[in-house]
Amino acid sequence: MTRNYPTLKQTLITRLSGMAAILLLAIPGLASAAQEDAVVDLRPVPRGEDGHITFEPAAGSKGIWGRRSGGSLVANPNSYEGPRTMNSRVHIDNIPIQPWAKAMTNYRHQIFLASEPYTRCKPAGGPRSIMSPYGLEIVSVPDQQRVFIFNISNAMSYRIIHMDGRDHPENLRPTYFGHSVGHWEGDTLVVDTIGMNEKSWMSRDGLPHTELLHLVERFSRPSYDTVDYTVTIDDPGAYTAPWTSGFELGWQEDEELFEYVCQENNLSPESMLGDGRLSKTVP
Amino acid sequence: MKKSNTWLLICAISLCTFHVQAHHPVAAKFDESNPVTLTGRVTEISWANPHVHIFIQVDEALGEAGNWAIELPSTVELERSGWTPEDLPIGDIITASGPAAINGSEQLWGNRISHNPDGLVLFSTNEDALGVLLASRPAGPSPQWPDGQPRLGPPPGGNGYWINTGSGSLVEEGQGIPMDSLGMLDNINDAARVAPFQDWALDLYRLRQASSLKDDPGFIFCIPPGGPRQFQQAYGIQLVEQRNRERIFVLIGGGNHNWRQIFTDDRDQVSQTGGNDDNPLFYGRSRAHWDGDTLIINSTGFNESFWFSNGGLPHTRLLQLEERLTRTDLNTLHYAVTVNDPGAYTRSWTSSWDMQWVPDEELPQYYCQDNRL
Repeated sequence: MTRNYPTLKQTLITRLSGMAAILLLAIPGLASAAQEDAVVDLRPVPRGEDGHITFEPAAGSKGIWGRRSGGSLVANPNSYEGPRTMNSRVHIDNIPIQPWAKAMTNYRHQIFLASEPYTRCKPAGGPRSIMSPYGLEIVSVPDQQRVFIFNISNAMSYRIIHMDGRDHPENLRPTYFGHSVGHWEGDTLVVDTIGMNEKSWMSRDGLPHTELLHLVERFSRPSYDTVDYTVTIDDPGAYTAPWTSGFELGWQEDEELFEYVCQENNLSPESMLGDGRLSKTVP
Repeated sequence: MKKSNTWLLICAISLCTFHVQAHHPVAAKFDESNPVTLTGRVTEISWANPHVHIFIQVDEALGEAGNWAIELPSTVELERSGWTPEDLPIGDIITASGPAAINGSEQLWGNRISHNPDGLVLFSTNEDALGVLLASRPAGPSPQWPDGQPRLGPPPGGNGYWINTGSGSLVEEGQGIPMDSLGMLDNINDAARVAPFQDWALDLYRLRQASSLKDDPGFIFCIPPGGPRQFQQAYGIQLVEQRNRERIFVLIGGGNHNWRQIFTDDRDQVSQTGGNDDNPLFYGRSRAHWDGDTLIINSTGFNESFWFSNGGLPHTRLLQLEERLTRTDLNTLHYAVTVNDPGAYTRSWTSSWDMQWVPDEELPQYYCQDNRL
């Protein structure tokens, strides 16, 4: 793919600041000082015709949203990614996770998340769709009363958020992205989702979910170059109480959505396109 | 057990047809000359795409002992005909009949499934369901933007998508060659008239036809439907015009449920959306402009890793497309494509068909890779 990869310098800064964050986490009160982007983008956040903020570039410019820092929901010392998760907003020991779900998470990390359906070109909804690599766009189409989220990876697919005040339908058949309805609370887009199937993972953290999952995702844009993503996870099948985490997305100036086809070099019928028997050996 | 609904009622009073040819390359997998009938206990239902499977345990006393997979159409077709997996409880006994797998494995295509002992027919697809829906649409003129330009998507606040209900393959304008919805020719001797093929391309087209399209990468590997093929999809497309950003998204209902971008900002076809001459794409690089009420889309930069039409017509990296979209009224989108590929054809040629508006429905959330591991 022809695209702008981060320069070595940018990568080093990211890694160093991540390490700094780990050190600072040990000192209460100083963690907030570990902001990666000391320079705030002072450009005004664009607004649409309806008066709400948009998640799009200012007129005449380009850009997409990308993962900033770890992009994990939980700090997890047992994560195969280890330290990279440690600047997450909550610690896995502090979420109300059911024992089976904790054991499942640990097992998944033991095998380096190799069983994640995402790696076999499945789309994933919820936080996983926001933390998938390369970037995404959040596009409001007011005359259709919808917000679309376009992913580059994540099966190069799209989520639809209904903004017309409708409710979730009854007897929803579970799907990868579930059914999402949204509304504005001030300048925060609040998205309520149910009806996600269990064929993909809701996060890169290896945290399981069940079809009982109910998500409330809050998207805001505190500055031109930052999206704050906060998600409340309510799933009585895997957790004992609702819990909240989130992460930031960063602006990738001048980048555009590009074609990414997971299947392009994924030509192993035995592992990717088999009859499903292999999948039953790894959760 | 499911009570009847509108589609089932229609199904009951008209014809409930089952066509192996109407779906994916089923003919490549199942042998219609070898029909089997099996009775067994349901062990599992995989309600997934591209095809639903019901697994039954057949006892020695009831015939071919083993755990048989009964393959059915996609969830979209079954749900459109009013069925859900809850219509068949696990553990119930069913009788299934249809052609057995060519390779001798314990699989059959489920032409008919009946519930025991009441004999109720389950999971029959009513191929008229969509036709009945389309016949009941209100007519009207093409919706417009405030400046009078036709809208390619829903009327403001509305919902719906485009679907190809025709025979559905690329055929040079005026040839009128009979073929099914997969582009399988009724008569292989018509092959040379489908398009102005170069010799090698005609040979390859004939080979793909003769093998019932079994090597279609769009089915085997879920390779995306680039080019005209996305306008042949059974599960529709949605067009989202984002005029302030000078681009149009094609949302593809079937295939891999991908998006494709068409730019209307006069950009060069260089290095956009990640593609360049060294990195050709499945959806190519597309830019468009309006000519009156017609959107003219020019695309280049395609790779050779996909089939750009059903039916197995070949193309090369030299492929250039000019696609023309004209919404002639509320319910009709005329799609015309001029194919210019000096690598596979002897001259440029044109094909066209009408897409039909499916009102008030969401684009199906179909993923080819759904029931793949």
